Amino acid sequence: MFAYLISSQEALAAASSAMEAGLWANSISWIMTQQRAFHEELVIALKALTAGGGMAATWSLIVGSFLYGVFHAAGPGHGKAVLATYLLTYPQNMRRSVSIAVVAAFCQGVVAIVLVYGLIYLAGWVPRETSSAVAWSERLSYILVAALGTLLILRTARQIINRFFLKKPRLNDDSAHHIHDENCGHNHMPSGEQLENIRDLRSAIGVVLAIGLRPCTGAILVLVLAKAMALPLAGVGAVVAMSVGTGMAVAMLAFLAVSARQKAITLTAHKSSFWLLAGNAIALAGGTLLLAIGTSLLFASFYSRHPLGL
Amino acid sequence: MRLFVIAFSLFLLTPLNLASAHPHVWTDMTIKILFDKTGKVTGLHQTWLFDDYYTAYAIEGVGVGGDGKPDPKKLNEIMQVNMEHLKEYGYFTEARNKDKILKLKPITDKSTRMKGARLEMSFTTPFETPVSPSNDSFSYAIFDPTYYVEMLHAEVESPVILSEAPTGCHYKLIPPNPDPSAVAQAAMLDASMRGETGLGSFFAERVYLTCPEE
Repeated sequence: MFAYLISSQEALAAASSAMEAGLWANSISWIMTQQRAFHEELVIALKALTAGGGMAATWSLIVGSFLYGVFHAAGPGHGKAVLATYLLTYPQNMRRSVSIAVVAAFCQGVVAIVLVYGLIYLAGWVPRETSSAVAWSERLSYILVAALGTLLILRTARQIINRFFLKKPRLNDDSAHHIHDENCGHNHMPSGEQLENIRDLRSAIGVVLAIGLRPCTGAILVLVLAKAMALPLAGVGAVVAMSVGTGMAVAMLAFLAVSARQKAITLTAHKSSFWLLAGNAIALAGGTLLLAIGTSLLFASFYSRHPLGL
Repeated sequence: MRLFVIAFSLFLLTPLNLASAHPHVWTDMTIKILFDKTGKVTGLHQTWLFDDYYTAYAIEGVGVGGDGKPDPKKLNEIMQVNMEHLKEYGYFTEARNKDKILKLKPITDKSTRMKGARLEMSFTTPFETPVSPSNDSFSYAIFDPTYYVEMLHAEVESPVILSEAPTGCHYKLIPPNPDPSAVAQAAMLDASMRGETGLGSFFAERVYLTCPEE
């Protein structure tokens, strides 16, 4: 494993001095190679565990799974498009954004464990039968992605309407109810701020589920293999370590996305409404993109399965 | 700082593809190129050795036979199902006569067995029209178009066997060398097109046959 890390340093150094397009593609290939390496490490570690490898094998499994998770997240997929689009256009603070990313990554791991082991151990299914249950979970996630896209579109549309077609400036974009201040005495309506909070929380949960309901295939395969070797706990441990790795990687993405958005807001805060419109345009584009991705993946999921049953 | 920029662009530029478009399963292949008496290439006999992951996935829960190993009848059933589904995908086989992709006849000689802890599947893909191997016209690539499964020739001395070939024939195995921008484009398209030729072909190993002129 360390040999891989060392050669990866060299590879990264070599990649850094290449042209941009080459740099990107070379990095992608390198990431994929590392992923395969860790994937194979996991098999070796599991086999070592069956042979009574003890702490060394356990450690190798955990570290290998963690690194697999990091590299796996860097490759295509894992809801990065969803997360990035959402965080670039929907104002969530840094803490919540990073939490969303991490929780989503864990959700993927948990869903994998619950679906695969739940169905195998509790319902007596055979591993390859679980693929149909996984497919339905994925469909739910695609629906949520499309819903999220719709939400972004509607929210942006509301902002545009409020800004250009309503005369009075409003405290909240969405409050068509009377706004009571704190001294009203009693609350018979949630305040605009609370409404906004609820909306934020709802959309945050939506994002987490949109990403999290799609279990990582790498995790599923490790769980099945671990079960086949009568090491289900090792499988769970591996998937948890993987989720930590993935979580860290997407947390970084979340950090970068929110920083970018916040920077953009500061730079254009008091400028002309052109910038507000530009921001709206980006949000609309992002929402449309998610809607398109969600629906197309949903439809695709009904008519093509992988020929080998994966 | 540069590393961060690189990393961030990696994330952002990575295809907006929620489906995992990279391999999760690896398969080692040994291929026999079949010749007829006139020295023409008639087909490929393929042996696919799946990795531990796919093996466990495919056979776990399959009834065991008397010797504690998976029941051969059940393995056959699994193979039948896989073969049926692979048909739509041309059995992942892209054999060419110059630039023309060869059509396949129905597969023959199917068999499956456990090789240690790994599942192995063998079958023959016969070509509709035998190909003359001269002029370097024959080549093939076997790959999963969705790049979910990585098909690689086994890391043995001779993963490609020339069965009853004319004397002087030899093969060359070219590893994949994906053009970065082409990969980027293909990956972008991959989003909802499972089964279309997407990433897989860029990462496929290609084998070229050279036989002496007649």
